[in-house]
Amino acid sequence: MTRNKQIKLRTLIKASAGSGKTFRLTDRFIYLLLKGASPESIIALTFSKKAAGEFFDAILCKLAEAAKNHEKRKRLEKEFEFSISSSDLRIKMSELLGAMNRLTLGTLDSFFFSILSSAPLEHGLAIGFNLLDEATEREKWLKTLRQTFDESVKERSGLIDDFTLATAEAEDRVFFSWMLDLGISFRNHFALCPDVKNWGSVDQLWPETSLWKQLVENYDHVKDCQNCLEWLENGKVIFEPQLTESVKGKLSDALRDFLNYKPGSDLSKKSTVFKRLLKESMKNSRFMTVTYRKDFQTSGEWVLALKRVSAYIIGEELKIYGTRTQGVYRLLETVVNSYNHKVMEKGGITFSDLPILLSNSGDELERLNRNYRLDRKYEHWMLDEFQDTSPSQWQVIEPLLEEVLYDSEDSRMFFCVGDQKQAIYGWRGGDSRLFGHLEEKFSGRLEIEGMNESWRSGPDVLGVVNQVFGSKGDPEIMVPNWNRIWEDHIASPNTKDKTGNVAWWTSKDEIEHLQAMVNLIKEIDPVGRGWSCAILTQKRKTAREIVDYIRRELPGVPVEEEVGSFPAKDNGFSQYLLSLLRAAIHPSDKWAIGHLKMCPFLDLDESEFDSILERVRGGVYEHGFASFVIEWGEIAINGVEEDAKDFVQKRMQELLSMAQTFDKKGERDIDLFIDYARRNQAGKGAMESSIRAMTIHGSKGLTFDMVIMPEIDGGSFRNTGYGGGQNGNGVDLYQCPAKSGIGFEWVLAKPKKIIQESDPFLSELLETDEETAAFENLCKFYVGMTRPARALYLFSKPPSPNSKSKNFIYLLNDTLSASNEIGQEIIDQHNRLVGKRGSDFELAYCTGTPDWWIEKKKVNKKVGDQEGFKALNSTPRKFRNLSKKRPSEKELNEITVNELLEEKYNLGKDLGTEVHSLFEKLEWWDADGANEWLKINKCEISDKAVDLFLNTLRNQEILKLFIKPDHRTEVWNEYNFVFQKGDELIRGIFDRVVLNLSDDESIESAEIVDFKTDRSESGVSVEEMADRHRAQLEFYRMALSQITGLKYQKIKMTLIFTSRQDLFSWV
Amino acid sequence: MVVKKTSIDWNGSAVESGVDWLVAQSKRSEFIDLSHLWIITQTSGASSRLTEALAQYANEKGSACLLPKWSTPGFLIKPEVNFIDGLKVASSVETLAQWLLVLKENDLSEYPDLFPRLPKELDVSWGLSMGSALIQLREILAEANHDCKSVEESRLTEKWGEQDRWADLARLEDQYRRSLERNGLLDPMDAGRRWVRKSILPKEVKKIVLFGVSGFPDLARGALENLSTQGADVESVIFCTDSDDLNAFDDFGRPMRTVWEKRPIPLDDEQLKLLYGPAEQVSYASRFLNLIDDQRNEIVNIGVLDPEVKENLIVQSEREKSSFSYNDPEGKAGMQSPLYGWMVSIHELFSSGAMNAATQLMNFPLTLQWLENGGLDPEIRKWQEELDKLHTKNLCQSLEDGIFFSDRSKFSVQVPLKRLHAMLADLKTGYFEAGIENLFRQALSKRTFDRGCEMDQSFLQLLPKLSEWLKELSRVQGVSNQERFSILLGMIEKSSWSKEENESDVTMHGWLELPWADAPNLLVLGCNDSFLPASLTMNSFIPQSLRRDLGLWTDEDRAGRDAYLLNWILASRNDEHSSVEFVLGKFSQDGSPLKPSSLFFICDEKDETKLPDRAEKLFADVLPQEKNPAWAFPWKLKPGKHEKIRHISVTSFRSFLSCPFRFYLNKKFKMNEYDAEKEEADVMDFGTLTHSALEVLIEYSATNPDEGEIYKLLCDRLAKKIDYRYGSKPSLAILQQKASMERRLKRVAQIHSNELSDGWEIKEVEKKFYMDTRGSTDPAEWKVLNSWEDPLENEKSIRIVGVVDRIDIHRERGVYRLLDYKTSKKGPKELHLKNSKVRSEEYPNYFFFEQNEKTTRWIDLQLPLYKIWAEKVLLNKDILELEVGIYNVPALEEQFGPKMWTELKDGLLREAIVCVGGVLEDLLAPANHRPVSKVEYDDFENIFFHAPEDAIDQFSI
Ligand code: SF4
Repeated sequence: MTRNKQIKLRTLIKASAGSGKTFRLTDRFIYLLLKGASPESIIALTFSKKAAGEFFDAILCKLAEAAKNHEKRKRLEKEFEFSISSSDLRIKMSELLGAMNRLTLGTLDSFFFSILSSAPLEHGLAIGFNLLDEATEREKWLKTLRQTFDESVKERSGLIDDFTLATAEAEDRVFFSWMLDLGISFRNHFALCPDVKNWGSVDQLWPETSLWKQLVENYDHVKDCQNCLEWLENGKVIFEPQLTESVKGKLSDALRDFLNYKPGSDLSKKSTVFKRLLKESMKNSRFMTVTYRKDFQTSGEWVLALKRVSAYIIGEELKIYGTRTQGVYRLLETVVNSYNHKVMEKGGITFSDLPILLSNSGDELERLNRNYRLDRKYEHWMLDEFQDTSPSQWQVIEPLLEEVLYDSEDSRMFFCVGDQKQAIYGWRGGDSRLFGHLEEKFSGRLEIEGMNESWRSGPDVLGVVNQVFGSKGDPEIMVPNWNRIWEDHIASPNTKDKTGNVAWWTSKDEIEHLQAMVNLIKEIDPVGRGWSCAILTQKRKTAREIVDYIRRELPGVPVEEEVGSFPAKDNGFSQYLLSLLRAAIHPSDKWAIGHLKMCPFLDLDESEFDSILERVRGGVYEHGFASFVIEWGEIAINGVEEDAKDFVQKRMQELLSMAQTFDKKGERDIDLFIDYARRNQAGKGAMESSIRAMTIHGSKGLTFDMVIMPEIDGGSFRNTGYGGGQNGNGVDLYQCPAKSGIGFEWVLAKPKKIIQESDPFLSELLETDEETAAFENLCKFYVGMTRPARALYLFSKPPSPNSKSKNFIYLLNDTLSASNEIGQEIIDQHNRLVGKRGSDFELAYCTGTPDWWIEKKKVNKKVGDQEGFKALNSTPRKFRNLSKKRPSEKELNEITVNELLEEKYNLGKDLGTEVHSLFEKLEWWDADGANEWLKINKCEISDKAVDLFLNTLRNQEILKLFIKPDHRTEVWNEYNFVFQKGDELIRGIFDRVVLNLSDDESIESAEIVDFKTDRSESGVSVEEMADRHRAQLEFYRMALSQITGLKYQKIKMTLIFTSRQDLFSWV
Repeated sequence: MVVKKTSIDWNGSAVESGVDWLVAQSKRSEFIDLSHLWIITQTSGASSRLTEALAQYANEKGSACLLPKWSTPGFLIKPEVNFIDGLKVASSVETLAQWLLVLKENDLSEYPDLFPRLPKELDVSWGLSMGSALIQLREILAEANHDCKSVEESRLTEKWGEQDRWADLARLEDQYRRSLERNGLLDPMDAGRRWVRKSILPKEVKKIVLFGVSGFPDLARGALENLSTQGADVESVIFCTDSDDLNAFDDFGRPMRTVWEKRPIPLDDEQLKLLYGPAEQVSYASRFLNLIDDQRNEIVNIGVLDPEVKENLIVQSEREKSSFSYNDPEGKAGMQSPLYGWMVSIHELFSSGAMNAATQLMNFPLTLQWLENGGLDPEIRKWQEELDKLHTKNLCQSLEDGIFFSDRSKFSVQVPLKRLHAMLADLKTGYFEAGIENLFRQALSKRTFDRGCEMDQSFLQLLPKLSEWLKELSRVQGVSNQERFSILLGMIEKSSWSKEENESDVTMHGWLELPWADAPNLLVLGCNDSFLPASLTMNSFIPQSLRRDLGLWTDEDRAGRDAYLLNWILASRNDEHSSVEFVLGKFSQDGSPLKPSSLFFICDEKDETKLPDRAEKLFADVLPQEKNPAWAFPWKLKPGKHEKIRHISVTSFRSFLSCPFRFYLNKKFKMNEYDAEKEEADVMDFGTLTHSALEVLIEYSATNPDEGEIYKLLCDRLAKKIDYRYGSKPSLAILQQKASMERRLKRVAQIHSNELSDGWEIKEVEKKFYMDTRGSTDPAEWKVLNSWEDPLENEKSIRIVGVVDRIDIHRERGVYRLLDYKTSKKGPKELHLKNSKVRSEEYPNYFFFEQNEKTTRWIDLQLPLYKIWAEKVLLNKDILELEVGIYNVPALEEQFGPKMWTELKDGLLREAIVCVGGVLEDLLAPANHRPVSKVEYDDFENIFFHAPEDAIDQFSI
């Protein structure tokens, strides 16, 4: 192979949506293989497990195609610049397939998991740690909190005081659930910003120049306020132009609010004038403009006094937030540490712990020989969807990458693909800035390449995408960061001739949108025609509602929401099962009982009701939850209406597998199961044949023929709604990202917006936040709009010229309006798609071919035909299955617990069996050689057993059985036998058989001896005891007769009872 | 030792040819006598199948058969005796307990290379998992006659920088051994290693045969050598093409990896089937099996390699009540027995002492039987009800709490709770093993078990084991009862039990059994990578490279062995009367991608298309069979008959105004949910407690009101209330809530002292009132009643009931004011009125009125009703004025204090009366309301699913 020039070893690819990065990745992988890299030495990480699977499939299919097809091979040769033979490819395939279980081809999480598994002790974890599901994690939190609270009561620790700090001037009625939520939501914050000094210490964080820091000690704002009021009312303050009376009134009112200010009061409820004054006075200027209908300007002592008051207010508020933050820190410190000790170190971890654990391990890791522990050495790295890597993940992989990138021999590959424009996982810790970091840090070592040719979308969709996202329009939305990375998309040779359609309709009425969408789906009938179709929303809830709506309006059209389907609570059937469980153990759960009483098929009266609940409870504890679902689910299915049967069957299946999983834990706690079930989300997949409703986030990486986006309105792009860490209790933490990109510089409970805007320091941060928010919003809609291959349909409220909200509708209007001149005919064509609509329903924009979809005809889907099974007409095998029978103890059908706990049922070797084992070894008893015999055979046997053995032999009749007779004999000790009787297989062990032989060695008669270790019961005769074993002995005789051909009369049967040193014989 | 290698032709049934070979070995001619043989088969399934066949063979000859000694390879290294070299071989209970002790008693920081980062809490659970890991490590090492010490001495890991770690391991192992020895015990792995040198050849055995054995631990070779010196011949019988092929195997008949990992497997593409997920595999199998109803097991055998598929097969056949069920020879885990569930629940109570653990435990049938057999008559429904109350009301933390409160409330559940308490004390401080045993004896004393009953199997099989473990535990010294309990649970977890096999059952064979599953057709499910070949689980002590160095079995070895087995399975069914099919999944249950087994790709290198075609087939896309049905309501709920309402409380008007339909539903079914997770006072409780503390204000009067005094009074009352409700040791959460209430009370005290100075005094608190509407919507017609018992006047009368939190009087100004406490911050207007026309068509018209040109809706009528009542009874010549309002007691100071609703008079009050009238009329003659599509707090959310109208029928009249 010649050294190639084309393939760059270290590449960072910025791949726009649909630009075929998988294709590039698979090429690279194959290249490496052909260059002689061993499959184990390549680590390829993708965003999801599913993507990893597809990646592997694609590699193999590509290899297979190239091995068979000369053209395909040629393409590779051209790409790689060396010649490749079919057999090369086959050899590489075998190599790859043979190494399948040693490949590292998965997600970052799974990679991290395997590192941890290779060295749990080094990371402070118990061996055998596992990943907790969400419900279990919550359960563990509950337990930890209970324990921590308990300890806290005992130790009188300051948790309550900390809580009081944390909720200073805020709602404080709930504590436990508040803490639970705090722990679960902010556990990682604690790890990412461990130093208490960086939590809410506003005094240190704010620059010395902050106005509130310059106020005199014990500053009294009342005085200043009174002065301001007085001066204003006495006309001592000069405004330009002069104030009108009404404005003056408003100003006085506002000043009174300043006067009455108390720390912690809700400033957002105050008047507009108050807010403006606060904001204006904090500006760095001696002049001040009060805007109320007009601008009024002033300066002088009045302004200075007001500045002091405002600074005071800001300072006081910040201090409150600082205090809260410290309270939050202290609470977190207590509960998180306690959780880590009680749960994590014991091996209960979650996905988000993985990088944190790994990056916290410091020196230990350095010392560890990772290649050895992992059984492989990673030479080559391939990373997909790099933009979604979180800083803490990056912290773990950075040193590994450095190794590759700075490798002196230049033989290792680093291939990284991502798209900052699709960085939509900011809220989950993904940080697209790492992209820049990577670019910068390794600039000299990395080749950077862009891919903007789309192999997914046709020219119509791409045109709109370019127009909207490449507009470089309104700078508040099209932030510099976005413009810097934007490059126009072009259609690939494969897609450039595909027809397509983009349309945007507006109406004020939401119902109009829904109905229009329904008509659109009816008209196109994507499922019937075989076009894939998705409905993308911003919120899960909307997806869910739309799905409900379509189902109602278009029964029979399969539509499925892909996120947030909770099979145990999203439908009446599952709720009924849960109600049964709840009612079964909580008579005071009137909800559950009421629900059951309304279920038509149960039709219960009181007495029946209780007995049903009794059955439910008993059943669960005896057989577990899966069997409960089967039993009670089936009963309900009979009551299900015909057209809901399929759906219910599906939910039943999901519940069943949920119950199975739960049962495996061995728990029978009904409350716990209910909680588990309610939180359990159904697996995705199996959706291909439906219209799929999902969030834009969920659509990442997917392609559809057509996409409908019915929810494109929303707040301004610069809203920092998410991005911060807010939990359900309203604890909202502002985290200032660390300069290094990893972790947080500092954390502060987020002040109210009015404070953020007024305080210069915060407002500067806010500005950055807003830009980030705008960028993320662009990303989100970019992802949504680049999903379709052919058609994109948008529905929204009409853009309003007065609205200042710079949201997506605003952007669309801004960028697409220029081409708004559409002919009536085209409008009509488009409107036909959505049916007759109300008067304010309008086509706002369109391009392309409205009937692109008729290309495919409706087809009746074939049900996958089944192939016939081969060779079932074969004859049965020669040796059949026989039912098995052992001629052992009498078949006890009423065994008691005492018997089961008794020794004879035990596996261990007790006295009886020890004696038995001595007899087993004894062929003939020779009194003279007895000592010698014992010496050899009694080792490992207790003295007590030996005594018993000897005692038994003291019974002369027993002894007789062991004295070697004069004629020829053969002794079988412990011989296994088997024979068939009818359809039964009878197996057993002869304890001892003595065959009496004639001189010609033929068998004349025999005796079967069996040893019994039954405890002797007083009052029970030997005959009675023997009788219990009669049946067994009969079997033995039958067996011996079958084997030897002896008649029954020639076989004597004897039982020896070792416990009473007695015997019984049948002749 | 010389091992003779013999080949048997692998075409056709291995059982048939195996039997032929065995019969030829018989030492007698009259009958089949194989008693001189020791036959080692790979699995015990193989030997039972051979036994079955031998019986039938003999039967044909009219005879029976003396069997050989059967065993599996593992048997060779398992001591048959209890004592070796004077030491007792430790049982698994003893082994685990000993490790626990060693880990507990040694200062583990002295093993820094083994434990570089010790967790903070080294408790039982950590000890057990660490102990189990070490036991497992030593088990693996023993297979190649190693232990930690020998690995250390080999210095094999030095080059990886792990020498120190092994030195630590060896030291710890040494501690463990010594600790065992002090107790006269010998570690079972050490025992095994000694045993191979000591095992004694049974007297009758003349020949040891490795019969189709494809893999066995190296240690066993030592045992064979030892046995052969005692006079036994050793022979390995190998299933393969012919004797020429014997060099593809080592002396012991183990296939050589280097040969088999390359030998092309004669597999056709049609023999492979790629399906979507476990569900698809299950239905494929059942379609296959359902084709035959007679002699199913003689015609088809099934192999299942993916445990997930296995589970699905079992459950699915249970669900479909199919004509046969699946039998899993591996049995069920001990964890899945009712006995385990019960033990776990007891353990939970044992270690936490928590009331909720006791509550859970009470629900177990076993607990109830235990109580009943202890002479108690279980009234489970009643007990549950009382337990619910103890939880909801008193938030009992510990079992002791529960006993205290149930005692005080005279609940009958106190008796069983006390029993539990005593039982627990016994387990904790008494003789643990006896305690557990007694528990079972008592719980099950009235029950008998039937060997033929499926439900009884877990008890039948696990109880004897349990008693064995208990016996072993009782011999262990130095571990606490807590630790004993954990060890016991661990033993049950690891054990297994199975249901009795039925002839019609379809056995799910494991991979190693398949050569012996000789029905003409074979279907193997779950043939995915990591199940075939089964991969070794990752072990952080011995990576594959070390395994190789130590001579342990590696993944590659397994692959080679399995490739051989695959060849064998295919060869045994290569005529036109038989078939083999391998089914593999594309995805697992949770949607993770699966890969096909790598064995399917061992093809002829020279064949140009075979491998690529195979890859394209097995890596192709497949679609799920699953239908994707649209969401639907399973049935319409039926609320049944409307019930007339004759009594209504002032506070429930709010609920009527939010949605009359839901109101009626709620009246009929009282849809209150039970909150199992309740840990602290909920918002209602919080309000109630605060209110009840505030009642004390009426007792305070002073000419010079003192804030401090008032505050103290309030706090004392609060403390009393909390103490009564939650006991003297409330949880931290309650303590915090108490602090929160106290903060509020402080502000109340402040305001109250001001108001007193201002001339206000409290006239009454918690004033209950009753009115009879006498069938009229005009309040002027209503009659004030004295009590709940007063009869209603006519059949159209409705009783309105209310409680005014507080009535103040200002004598100077001649004003009464009625106040309602709220711990939230909403004022009177906000609470009563809503400015919105949204979905107005869904509500009755009388909910609305016009105010300042805006449509306003009533959302509550509490204060108007107070006013109506008060005007009837309070006003007199001195006091002519009445005010009503809300006294907010929220967290924020700003919103604190009384807020009067001064506008509530004249027109507005008249509007309110109209609305009240409308409600009253409706109560008597309920209109056919439809559920409102959206309400603020929807009790029915979980059954209405955004479409209440479709979810529920109307009331029937
Ligand atoms: S015998 Fe046992 S398993 Fe069978 S039905 Fe009766 S109780 Fe159930």
